[in-house]
Amino acid sequence: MMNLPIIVWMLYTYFKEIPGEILEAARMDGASLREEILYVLTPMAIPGMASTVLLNVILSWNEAFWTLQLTTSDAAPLTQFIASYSSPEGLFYAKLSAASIMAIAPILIMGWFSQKQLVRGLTFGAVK
Amino acid sequence: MGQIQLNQVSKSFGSVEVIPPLDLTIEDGEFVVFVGPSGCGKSTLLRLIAGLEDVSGGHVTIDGADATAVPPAKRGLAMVFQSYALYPHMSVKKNIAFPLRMAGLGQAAQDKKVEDAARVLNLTDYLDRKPGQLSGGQRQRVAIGRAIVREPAAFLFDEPLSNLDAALRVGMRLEISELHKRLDTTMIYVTHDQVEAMTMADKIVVLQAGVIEQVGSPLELYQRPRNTFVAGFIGSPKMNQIEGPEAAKHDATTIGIRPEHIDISETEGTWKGTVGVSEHLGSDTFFHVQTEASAEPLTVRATGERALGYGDTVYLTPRPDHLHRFDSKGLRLE
Repeated sequence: MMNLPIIVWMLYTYFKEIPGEILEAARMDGASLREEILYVLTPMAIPGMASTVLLNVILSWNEAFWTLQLTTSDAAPLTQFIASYSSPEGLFYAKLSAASIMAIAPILIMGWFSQKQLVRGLTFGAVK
Repeated sequence: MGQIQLNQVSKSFGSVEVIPPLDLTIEDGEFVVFVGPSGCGKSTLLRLIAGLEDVSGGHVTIDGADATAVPPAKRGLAMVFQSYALYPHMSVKKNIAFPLRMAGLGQAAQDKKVEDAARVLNLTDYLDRKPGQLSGGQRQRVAIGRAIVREPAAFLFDEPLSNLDAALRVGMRLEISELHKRLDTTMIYVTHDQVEAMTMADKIVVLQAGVIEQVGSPLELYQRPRNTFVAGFIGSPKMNQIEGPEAAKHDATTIGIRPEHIDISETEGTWKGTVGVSEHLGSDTFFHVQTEASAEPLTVRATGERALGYGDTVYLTPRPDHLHRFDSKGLRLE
């Protein structure tokens, strides 16, 4: 919910970057609005959508502050769960490390595979 | 068939009228070029014919049927854009096949038509490549291929060669002319380059501020421009236009003389002048000569090389039978 404005803003920018002439060409080629979206608009916006999704996942993942403040221990997300290993009873390094690696691994793997899309998405429209 | 008629077609964006009501008939099989300076409304006019813009008034008729309210895809026209407008995520083959796919044609028929178009345009070896892996000329050929497979009533070209370098532009110009001869289909071509207009067109439509200044064959426009605008716009280098006492001698407000219709001599002539900058093209030399006749330097074309340098005194003589006369409104006097 907190990330919605940035998602809307990013997607708006990416979709706006798609040249109008290409959509007009599709219209001239006989594509209906549905076909235009399905075959032209969406495939061309995939890098932008991929980078938005990834950025959103990263931001959600990092919302430790809010989760610490707002959630109970029964409904704790991963970030709050990791923080719980640092408690007045002591620092549980082994568990803390294991939980941290588990926490960053999915993002790392996802980022690794989508880095090409992510970088292209972030620089989309910056240069001609 | 591909006869297109515009009856009192106009276009306004809000309160700004970019195209006042105009009439124009484009005959079947004609190669018509819309030419004019930037912002004269030539692209808008093409988009009105294509259906990408709605007309503010008047009717567009294609092959006798009123197409004013018909959507772009149903008008039977194909358009080639300045930026090529290829689908970057599709291969060349899929790009060319896209209109056929949208028309619901079977795979075998699609493949055959794509192969035929690719053969015509020398794209057979590139069918599996993406547009990003092609040169500018090849991309433009793909865009033309996408238009050809639809077998349209007319092709619409919106400054298709503007993004290409000079050498490639000449080559593509010939290819498009060749294609027109082979397909014998109506073509409407928008450009601001009057050389393209002169070399390709059967009929040129000169536009200024949305108004048709003159319609005619390239040579008609060159030899008998209707007004000073057309006289200045058609021809490269442009026609010399002289006002003042020199024009009054010929009972005109403005007289026009093309650079190739002025004789240059080092001994005698009508106007005495001083040579300014010379442009040596090998086959011709263009001299810019400052004379008493005109405030602006006159451009003179001499065939081959002439040993005249900066600051030399020369005499210019216009050929009387090639003198164009215009009145105070800039209209041609016969």
